[in-house]
Amino acid sequence: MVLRADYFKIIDDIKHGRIYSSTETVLSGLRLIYEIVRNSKSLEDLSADLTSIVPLLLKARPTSAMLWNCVKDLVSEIVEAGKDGKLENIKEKAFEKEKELEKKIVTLGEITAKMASHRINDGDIILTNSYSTIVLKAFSIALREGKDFKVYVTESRPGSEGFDLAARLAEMGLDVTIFVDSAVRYMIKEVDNVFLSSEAIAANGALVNKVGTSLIALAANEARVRTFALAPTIKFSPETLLGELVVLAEGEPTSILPEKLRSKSMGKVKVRVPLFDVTPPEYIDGIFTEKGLVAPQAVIVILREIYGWPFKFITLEEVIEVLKTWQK
Amino acid sequence: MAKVSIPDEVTAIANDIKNMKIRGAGKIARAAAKGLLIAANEYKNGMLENFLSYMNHVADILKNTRPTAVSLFNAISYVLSRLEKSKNYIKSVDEAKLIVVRAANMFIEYSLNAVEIIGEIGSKRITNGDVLLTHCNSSAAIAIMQKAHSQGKNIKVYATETRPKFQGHITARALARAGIEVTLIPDTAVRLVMREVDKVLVGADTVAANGAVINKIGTSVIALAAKEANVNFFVAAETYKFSPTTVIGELVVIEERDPKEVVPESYIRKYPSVNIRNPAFDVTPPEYIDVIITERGIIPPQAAILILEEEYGWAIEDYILQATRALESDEEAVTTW
Repeated sequence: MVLRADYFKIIDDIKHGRIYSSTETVLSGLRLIYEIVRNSKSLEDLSADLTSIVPLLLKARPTSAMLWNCVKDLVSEIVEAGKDGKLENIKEKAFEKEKELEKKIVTLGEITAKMASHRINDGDIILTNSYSTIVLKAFSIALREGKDFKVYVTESRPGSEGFDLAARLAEMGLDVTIFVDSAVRYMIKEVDNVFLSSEAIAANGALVNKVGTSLIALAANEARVRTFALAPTIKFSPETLLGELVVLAEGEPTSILPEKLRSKSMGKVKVRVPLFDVTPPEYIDGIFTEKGLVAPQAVIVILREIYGWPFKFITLEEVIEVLKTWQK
Repeated sequence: MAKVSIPDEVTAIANDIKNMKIRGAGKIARAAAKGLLIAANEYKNGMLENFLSYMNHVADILKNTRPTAVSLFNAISYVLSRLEKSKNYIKSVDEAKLIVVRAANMFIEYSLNAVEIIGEIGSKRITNGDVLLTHCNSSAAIAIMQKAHSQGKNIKVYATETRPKFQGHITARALARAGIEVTLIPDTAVRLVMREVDKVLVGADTVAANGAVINKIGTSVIALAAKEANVNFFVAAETYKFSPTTVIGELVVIEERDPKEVVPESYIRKYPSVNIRNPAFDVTPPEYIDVIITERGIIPPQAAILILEEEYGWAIEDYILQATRALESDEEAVTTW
């Protein structure tokens, strides 16, 4: 039995980056929704819980297109299964859908990683930032195939997840080098390819990712170093087709300025901790997806393939509106 | 050379520069001048013949603390060139000491004034309502912002935290204390906030003959982001940061510092196979710099050579002379020429 307090703890962990990788974020989000379904005693209960918790979950990581897409899929399935009013049916369908989505996320990530690994050649130095499950997978595939390459990882403040990624890569036996984020323009001259993970891909091919990504892409562009994003199409954001802007979350001031430092005469100093930034499509040479390598300018073609043209998809708000009717 | 004893106080200054207890190009330069002053005063041997080699020895020790800090070299050559030039006329140790003490004091006073003059000149480039961005901790850049603030201009400043050593905290504290609205951001957020910024204002560690600026790691990527966003990029630098040796083609060596500044020792022990690079500086090319604000006035970076000729013409002549002599002594080189 998972208590309501646990729901909020998971949301809090996502919000404050204790669950960081977007894959892990989505998996824990989907499991959370399934737990709510499993524990509910009536349709009304379920509706009340979902309508209050789902928006909170999405707000905890508003940039993640994959979270948005998958949650919408799962909740739509719940709404669909609830048409005949049987809770047992909902539980069964939600269980199946949750498992299906989990499998889909992992599989799409692996295919994308495999595609990207083709771009790693003997003698290459690949630069990456932050902590991405898919980028990690791409390196492990290339390593397994006996490719001789090195990886550079930036610290990735705030959070410094780059150091964790470097530790995992070193444990795999890779030759890995870390440095502070500021050193990127100094180090880029030694780099052959940049691999970037992704939080969301917008309709124009822009990449939303960990803050600092756009600075890396800018430096790579100046040095004529090829830059690739790794993003299965499940990370493409259809909402941006409707003109929605991706909301860029900011972190807690204490994450870069701990209280104990602040007390020392830093009283009036303000702190801003952006967590994500947007890399324009012109700095990205290609996006690796499970369908292959596409130009950022071709993202619209893929979105059209998935959602039709003129595009047709229901928004999450519409799904939640249906859910609310169960309470009456 | 016979073992010469160096005054403890001078050794302490050398250590403080090396361990970065004394940091910032201006402070390092003044500390080196003070080191020479103390060494001269404490000279015990009494033999005039040995005084020059003793002072050169002290100079070498001071220079070796931060081999890439040009202000350190310029401060030392400012003082010692005065001793060198008058060595044929000096009659006693006391006279020699006096020359060093006077030259050192002159340099320290000049250096302190320089920062103030830069504040005065630079503040004219700041307008009411400006949003500025600064990196690391530069006395000259802070002087400009403080001056602008005291003129009643309403400014806001973004200060990068400046990994690995967080000197941005020192800047933020100094500006907040002066009553300036300051916001600390991680270094990664520079491109994101650049859209809100009107002017970037940074200090310099070294200015090369072509106007390239060597400064805290990260400066060049900030300049790039400023260029992309069409934001003015200003460098504040005293002229003793201009490097005479770059005129004869010397490259500025970029110091790579201790990995322990980047990650805690526990990380290094746990993951010994992770390589750690810690370059302390990077090079911002002149085309990304709008102006350099010096105590001699505001110059385009391409005019760096004019400052060098005026301030360090004698040093440059000396370097060229040495290089020519080296060439001449190599007979083969001369014949092939």
